[in-house]
Amino acid sequence: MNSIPPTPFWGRLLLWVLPKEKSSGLLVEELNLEYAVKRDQQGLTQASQWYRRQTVKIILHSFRDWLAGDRWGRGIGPAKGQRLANLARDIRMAGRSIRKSPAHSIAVIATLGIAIGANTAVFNAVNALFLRPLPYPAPEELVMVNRFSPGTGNGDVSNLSLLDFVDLSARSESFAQWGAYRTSRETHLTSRGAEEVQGAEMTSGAWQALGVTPMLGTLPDEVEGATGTGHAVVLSHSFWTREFGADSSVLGSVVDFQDRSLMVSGVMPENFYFPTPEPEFWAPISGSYLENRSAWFLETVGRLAAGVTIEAAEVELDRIVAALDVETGQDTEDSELIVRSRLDAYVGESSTLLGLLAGAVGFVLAIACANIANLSITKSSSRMREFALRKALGAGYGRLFSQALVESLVLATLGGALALGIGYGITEILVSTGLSDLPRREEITMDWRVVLFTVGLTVFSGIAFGLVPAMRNARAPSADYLRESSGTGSNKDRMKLLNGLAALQVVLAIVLTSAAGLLLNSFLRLASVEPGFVAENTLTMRMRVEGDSYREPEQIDQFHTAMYERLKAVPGIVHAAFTNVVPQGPNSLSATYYDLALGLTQEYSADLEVVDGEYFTALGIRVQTGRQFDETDLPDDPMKVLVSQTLADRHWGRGNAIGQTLSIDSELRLENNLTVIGVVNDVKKSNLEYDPTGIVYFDRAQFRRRHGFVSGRVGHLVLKVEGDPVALTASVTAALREVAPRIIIADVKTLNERLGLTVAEPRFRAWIVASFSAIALLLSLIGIYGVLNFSVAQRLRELAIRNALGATSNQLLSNVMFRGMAVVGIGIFVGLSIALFGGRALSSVLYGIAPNDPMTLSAVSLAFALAALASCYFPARRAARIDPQAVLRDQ
Amino acid sequence: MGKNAGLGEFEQLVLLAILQLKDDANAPSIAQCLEESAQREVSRGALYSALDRLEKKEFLTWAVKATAAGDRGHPKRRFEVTEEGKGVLRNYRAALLELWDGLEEVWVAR
Repeated sequence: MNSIPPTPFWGRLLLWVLPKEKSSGLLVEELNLEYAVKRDQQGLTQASQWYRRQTVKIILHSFRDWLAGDRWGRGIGPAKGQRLANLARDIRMAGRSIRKSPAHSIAVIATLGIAIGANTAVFNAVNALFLRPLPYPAPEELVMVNRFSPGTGNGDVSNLSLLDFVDLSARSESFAQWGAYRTSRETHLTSRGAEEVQGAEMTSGAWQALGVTPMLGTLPDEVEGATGTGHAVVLSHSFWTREFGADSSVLGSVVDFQDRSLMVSGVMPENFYFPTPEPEFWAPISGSYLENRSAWFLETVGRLAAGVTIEAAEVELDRIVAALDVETGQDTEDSELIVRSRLDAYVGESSTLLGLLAGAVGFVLAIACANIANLSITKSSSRMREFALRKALGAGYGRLFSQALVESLVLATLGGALALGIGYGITEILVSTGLSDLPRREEITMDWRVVLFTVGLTVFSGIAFGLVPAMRNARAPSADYLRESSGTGSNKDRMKLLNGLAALQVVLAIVLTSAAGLLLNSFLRLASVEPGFVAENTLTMRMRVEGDSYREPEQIDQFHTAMYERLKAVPGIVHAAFTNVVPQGPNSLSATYYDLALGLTQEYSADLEVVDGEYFTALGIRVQTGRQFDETDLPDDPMKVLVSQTLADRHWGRGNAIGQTLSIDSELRLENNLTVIGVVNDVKKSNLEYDPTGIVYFDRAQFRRRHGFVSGRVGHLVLKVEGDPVALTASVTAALREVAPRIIIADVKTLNERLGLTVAEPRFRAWIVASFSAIALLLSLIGIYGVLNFSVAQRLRELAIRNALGATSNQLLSNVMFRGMAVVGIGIFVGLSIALFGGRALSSVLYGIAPNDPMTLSAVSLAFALAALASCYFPARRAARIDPQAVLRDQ
Repeated sequence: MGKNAGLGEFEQLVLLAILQLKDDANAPSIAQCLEESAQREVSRGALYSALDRLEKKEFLTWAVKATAAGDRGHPKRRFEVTEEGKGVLRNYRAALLELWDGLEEVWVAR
């Protein structure tokens, strides 16, 4: 491939930081070329390090050249060293001026500290999720391949089967390395008893794609072939420390899992994880998955070959799939393979939330800057004389400008330092409350990127709030100003500017508060959704039994019977049941089904649930018509199902479902003639936001006859109890151990906790945006107050004359109020318009409320207008209480 | 830029390195050549901005060239000193030699 290689992050940074005459030439291109060669010769890690080192050097050199007044070594610009000397003097003067007005300085530093600190905190999370490299070299190059089938729900994305993967990887030339993996749970047999550990099964290609090396030993050998089947297991650092006491002679030891024993071939370093932080071992993938081409549960990870784009890889895969379809007779026409960046896909779901947060804190910062700009302008009016004098003494525009700007930057720097501390505090709060289920959460710590961001934002804010005042100061009227005792000439301009900035604050505050109002409203609606089951007094837990005593269906049946009997004997347990999918739980099983009356042409999608025991009673799910499963439904009878109301109504109309037949097609293969024996009310299964598509319930004993893998060995127990469910955990565990000594129990939660978790994110969203909008509101109200106060001070003479000419206190009051509220009114109008159109950006996170909900928006405006009235009142009262004689005498 | 532009010391070294390397004159090998003769690491920033300047002064040209399979076919930019570049080098050399003339006690090692 004879193309210039793509620019890595560091190169893009260079392009951005360096002045154009320096970066537009050979520099970045040559660096990229050399990087590409180094990558091939010395590996990714070394090449990336090299690139990073070069970048830092180049930037430092350029900065040094610039400070010395040496423009890229060609001696253009101010005399050498002059720039540095000027800068030092400006900083000293800024320090003096900051000390001279402590109140103003503290106000500015505190406002900036809070506003930048909030941004720092959010960036901290963004950094950990998106920017910090994953513990693999060049993580941005990792890609994953998924099957995309529009209209199947759940993001429409599913995975590959092992057969698919083996065929695809054998024929594809798009990938330099490519491997498959799945996360799994194994029962680890230790001297303490059986324990469940999470791990992953990987092909050797997946290891190659990750490009990592173990701390001890080796990775599974390439000899194991494409599927990677073998007996070598790689341990995580934590597993190795816990189970082997960090013994370095662990290699060759045997790890006993319930179903197989594996030999330790390597130990990964402490910071390594894949694909998520949980897995503690990495085993070869089981060859048994080679049986079923439509068992789509393997995820893949790979790196594209040099010069191959994502699009090209997709085109190639499509071609191979088309050929495979012909050979295997499989029909995958309604789905296609997509190639995505792994980093994007991995953290993509959190991007909405973080985008929202970033927007909110950005608004807060913008308001803060507008506010500080106003403060600075009002303050600098009192320093006009100073600037005019300096100008008269020969200071040029540039010097005056840079001095004023440096003063803002020094203030901003102090604010930025405070922001680092505040940002740290906010991060701690965010992580411990709402961001608790973010991926990579444990990595949210301050690092150099966060500091760099804060520094950058500090400089940016310093310029943002300092630019306009600096320009005004530098333009200070010289001789005219000094001659007059008080400057009134530029008053009008100044008030226009101040009012404009105040209105801008109102606009931003209104937009942010509208968003907060919508999110809050949406959360309240979500929290009051009827889930379709009774969550009170219900304990749920995942259970798993394995081993020779649980191989045959009859053994499982016996176990279940014994389990219910024993559980019923536990004081406090009212109903006990089993299901493969716990409500509000992590996973679900969905399938395509057909209404047999309509034939096999029209497909529908439904969730499948395999239940047992007193499931419907335990959860308070009502049987609307027909009956529940009971002891008359024998395992070998023709299969019977219950369906949810939505599904029943869709096909047969209310009340006509009993006795109808369905056909299910899924990974479980085609199942015909399922007879409906009952209809139950709808249940919000996996979360509260989406309307149920329909659920088909199977009886466990009937189901496992035909489909070995959902056999009742693994699933969730649902226990309806009297009193506090948590208090029963110990006695339930003990009872289950009596029936099955090696039973594994995990994920014990009350159903209310599970419900709480599903609304946790909306609650957090509403809470956090509301907090930031409260800050924004407060800042903007302070801004209005400040501007109006200043304007009253400037207009004292005019107001006094009006008063002397007969204007009453009330007239003066309403005059000032009107001016203040006019600014507020314009701000609200513009803010509302933006909220009306911009609200659409929120629609994906809103539930049950339109993004332009008139009630919310008018409530927000009204509340803001009332608050603004209050903040206008005090300056106005000052105007109303004016003593004309005193004022006119003073002037 | 172009005519009559001066030549810095480092720029001279770069041009000479290119001439020494002949067909092999790509940026990494120039850097290596300079490092070997100067006994210190050459900053890529300095090197590339020198190359950039020399190109603007029309003392060198370059062409992107596919390379041997050993580098997995990554393209490389091959640099070449123009006639103008050679001319200015010759002038410098002549000037230097003239100035060094008769200073044997300085440049002959003791």
